[in-house]
Amino acid sequence: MSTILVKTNVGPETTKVRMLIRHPMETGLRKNKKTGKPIPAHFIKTVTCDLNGKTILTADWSIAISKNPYMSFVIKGAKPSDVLKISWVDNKGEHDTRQGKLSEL
Amino acid sequence: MTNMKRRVFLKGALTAGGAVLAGTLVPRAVLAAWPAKAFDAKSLDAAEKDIFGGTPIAESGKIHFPELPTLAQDARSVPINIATTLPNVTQITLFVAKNPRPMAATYHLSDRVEPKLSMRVKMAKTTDVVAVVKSDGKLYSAKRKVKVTIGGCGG
Repeated sequence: MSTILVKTNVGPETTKVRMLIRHPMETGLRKNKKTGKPIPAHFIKTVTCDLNGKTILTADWSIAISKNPYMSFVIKGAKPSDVLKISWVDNKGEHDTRQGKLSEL
Repeated sequence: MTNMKRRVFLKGALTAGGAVLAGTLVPRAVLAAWPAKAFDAKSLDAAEKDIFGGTPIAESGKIHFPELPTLAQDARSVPINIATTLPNVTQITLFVAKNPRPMAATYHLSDRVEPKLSMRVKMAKTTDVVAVVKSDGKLYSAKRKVKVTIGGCGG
């Protein structure tokens, strides 16, 4: 199952894209309450959004982005058949990608 | 029996090797642009200097935070919307002034994307959220104070 949940709202002039990514977004500043040991940082660094193979938006994130990050943006003049690809990569090199036509996401 | 185990071992080693390769090769190009120094900065001024290289930032009334609460319900997840009527926006950066690491996120926009973004951020204490927008190559900013209460009540 993908870690990326995408919803699109294709209008005549603009398309709103809303997404949720399942990720702990651990800051590295917290401690395990039982052991007192620091919990290592684990967070998404970059989210890339491509439309028909061309990057239209990149997001560089820090530890301040909330757990299970939500993000939304608006594409100008997109067609329902346009293909949107969303990828993320985190500080451990883990990554995931979701791709589909705007009308089908 | 020994042969079987050897097969299993080989299979495991091969897939593990593949995963390591994928992990190192794929994201490298993406990570190159991640502004580590600015994200690690401990003050708002230092973070702004690192990411914008000392370029002056002018305050603007054309940057808005639609529906931003004045009191955060949950400091671990404060919804932030940033919208601007400034033209030709190529970058939007968000800072939470008094977080241990003030720079929260920076977005690079192509002309296919409207300058209108939403996100959720963690806030350590009551402070300003600051948005800096690059429009026609120049920098503009706006800020709004958001109250945070520890434990969730009062104001």
